[in-house]
Amino acid sequence: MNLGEIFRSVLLNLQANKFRVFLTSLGIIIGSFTIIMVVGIGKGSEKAVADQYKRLSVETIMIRKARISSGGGGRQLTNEQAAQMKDLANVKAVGFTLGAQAGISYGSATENTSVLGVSESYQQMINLELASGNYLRDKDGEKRNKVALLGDNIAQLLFGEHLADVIGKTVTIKGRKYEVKGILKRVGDGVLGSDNGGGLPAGFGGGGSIDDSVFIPYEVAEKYIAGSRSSPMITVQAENINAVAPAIEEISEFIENKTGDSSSYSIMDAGSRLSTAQATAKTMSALLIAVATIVLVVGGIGIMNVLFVSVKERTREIGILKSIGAKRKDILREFLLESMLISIAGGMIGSGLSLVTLPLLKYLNLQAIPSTEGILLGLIFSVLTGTFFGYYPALKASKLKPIHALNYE
Amino acid sequence: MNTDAIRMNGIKKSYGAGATRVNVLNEVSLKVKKGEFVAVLGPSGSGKTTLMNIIGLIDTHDEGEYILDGEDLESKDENEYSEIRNRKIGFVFQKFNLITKYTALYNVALPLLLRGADRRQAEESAAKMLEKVGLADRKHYKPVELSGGQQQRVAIARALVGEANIILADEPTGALDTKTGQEIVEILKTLNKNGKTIVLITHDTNIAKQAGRIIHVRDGQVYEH
Repeated sequence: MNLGEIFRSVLLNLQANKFRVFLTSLGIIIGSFTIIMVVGIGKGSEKAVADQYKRLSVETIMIRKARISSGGGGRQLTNEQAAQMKDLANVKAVGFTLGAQAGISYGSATENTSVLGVSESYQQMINLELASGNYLRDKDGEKRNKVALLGDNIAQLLFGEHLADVIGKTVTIKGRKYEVKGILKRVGDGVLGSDNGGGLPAGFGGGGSIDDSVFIPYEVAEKYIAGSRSSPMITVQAENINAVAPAIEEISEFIENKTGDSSSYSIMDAGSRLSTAQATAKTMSALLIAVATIVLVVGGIGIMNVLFVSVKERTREIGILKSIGAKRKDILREFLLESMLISIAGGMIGSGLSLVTLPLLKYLNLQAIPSTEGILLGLIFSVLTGTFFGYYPALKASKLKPIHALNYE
Repeated sequence: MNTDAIRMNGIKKSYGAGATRVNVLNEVSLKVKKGEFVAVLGPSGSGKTTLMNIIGLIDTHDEGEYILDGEDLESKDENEYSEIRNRKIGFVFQKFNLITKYTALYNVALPLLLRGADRRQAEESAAKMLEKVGLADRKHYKPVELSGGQQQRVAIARALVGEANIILADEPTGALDTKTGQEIVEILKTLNKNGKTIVLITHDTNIAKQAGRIIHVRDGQVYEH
């Protein structure tokens, strides 16, 4: 029988059992949907990681007190001591940050956002650019001046579109009044159109975008914003990219000398932190793909089940076809094609659903990127599942002896 | 020069194993010449349906020699059996065995489609066959919309469409009333006049008598007198 005819007869069968076909393909629909979502979310989180580290140059080294200190040894490194790291041969600059989520208000407008205490040097390290006003100075910190730099988004949320005369106005952060010292340039809508550009390095008080952040002097944040248990992150900039490794060694030795135990601090350069974060994102993706695969396998078993029922129901028909000359391969192809069609249709419906759903994920604060890769993967997996699980019932059907099939009631 | 459509020598067939083993056919030898109309007559359980299934290659024999249309069937595989069924044998069953979801036309076209013919050609030939059995106006009906007699005529059209020379009819009148049954027998007789070899299985003596020759089956053996 030529393939066109087999195809026609399969379609006829599917049509006659629409509801069952739908139920059968449900497993495949959900499976391919999951795969595409997972790939989208995986890509999204990889991109988010990349964005987060985008503003940190590879010369950056981050030092922070390890959450679980090993053996409790070692004294805390004071900020004065840490600042001395600037004198190390391979270190160009040392900056401090300390952050927390806090409420900020102006008039009746109130926003909750990440408030970061930063040292003067840190502003240069992450290339903060002013739209208007002045940078924070170390003097501001020493004098505990309550001044703030506002990210573009947060400034707009508080003051509206017109930011011209905002400098010098007073905002309230965590119940205390701060003078607006500067407004930062918008980083989000860069020429490249990156939608989450200008992210801040992970490990910060809030993470997130510079546009949504408020910067205040480090010492002020230490006093009024951060809790007593939070420890600062020390950011060190190496002289150049080749100085990163020697700088890490120097820093480790320095901390060892000052505190007696360097292992209670984690020292990591931006490059390896980035790759660790990416690896984490990848592991996550792999895990989710495993879950999606399980869903598909379950869907495949569903197909196999229904196909077995279908073979049973049509045993007589198979007998008739064989008695008038159908060969094994005719029967095999018919049932295999049926299962493949079900799975292809399921895969396509699943893809369609995922394309509709992926953009909605941003409301859950998940970044997901639809990709042809994901859709291809989803479709390929569906077809493979359909073929794999359809093969056995189809083979069984094709091997039915005509005499037994004909006499089947 | 071979003039036998069917030649069987010492065919044995049994079902089951051990103590429950039942010998259905016991050393059956049989010859049917080309163009003959043979009735195989016997009570139910005599083994006549098994005989017909073996003749029609939808069941296999355990022992013995079977030559169909000059072809020794020893050492042929299942696909070759399918091929032979498709080209040399036309079946007419008691229960018609039409595929209910297809129209009469498509049912009749199936043997040609299974050969790989394209649909237009196959349906053209099928339409001609339906005309021959008097169902030209019913070709787009599905089996359930047809009477028993009409269904059996569709089945005959299907048996003929592939131009098989041997028609095997297993109790073709069994599910029909006497009058309709007789109509079917008349069609078979006409086919025989036009050169087809007919093997008709029945338990009805009145129908068997209309064949050119009667073979009796009893307890797994054949007799002729």
